[in-house]
Amino acid sequence: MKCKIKMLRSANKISQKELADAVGVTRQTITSIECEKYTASLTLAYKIAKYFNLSIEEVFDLEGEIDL
Amino acid sequence: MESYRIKIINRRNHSIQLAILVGVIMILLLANRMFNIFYDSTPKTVLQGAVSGFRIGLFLTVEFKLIKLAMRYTKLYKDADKLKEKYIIEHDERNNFITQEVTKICDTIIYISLSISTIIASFFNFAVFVTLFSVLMFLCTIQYIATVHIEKKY
Repeated sequence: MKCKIKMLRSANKISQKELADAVGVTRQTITSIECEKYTASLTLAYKIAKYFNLSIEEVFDLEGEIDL
Repeated sequence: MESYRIKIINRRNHSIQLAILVGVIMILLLANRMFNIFYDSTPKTVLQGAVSGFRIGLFLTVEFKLIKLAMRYTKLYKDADKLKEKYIIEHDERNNFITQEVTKICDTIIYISLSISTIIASFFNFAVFVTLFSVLMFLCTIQYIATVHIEKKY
């Protein structure tokens, strides 16, 4: 799943560790999500979006992932 | 975080209780091995000696592991930062996902290898065949019970 976490982190000058601590996961999880190796759960996606004061759709891009 | 701290304290207490139990069993085994208090445990063959040594070694390893765990938990519940770190590692969804995937792969390998071994054993030794078949049936039963239980839960 494509996401804008890396871009948002750079814009807000936040490290992976800071974001990971804030949303209650390990730094490796954030790295995997950024590298599109791991898809975040709904809860985690919500927490990340809330951390950046955005909606889930603004942080994660589901295009190409699901066929509706 | 407070509930997790209580959980860690409980784990430490259980580790200590288990360590005491294992320690007592180990002392009794060693005492019996040295003084034959309960039964004559003097090894008659090399194999019996090896089995006896393996048993005591296993108990020793478990004992040390439990003491180490109890010490780790004691350090953990006193340090708020380490406690949070441990909580995150334990509840991290990627870690849980990895564990699930590893379990799935290991389960498949265990079932396939055990089934093949059972079939091969049936041609050579009846006792080995029955043992392997019993283990396979036991694992299948456990898997079935666990599946039914978890299906009902969700």
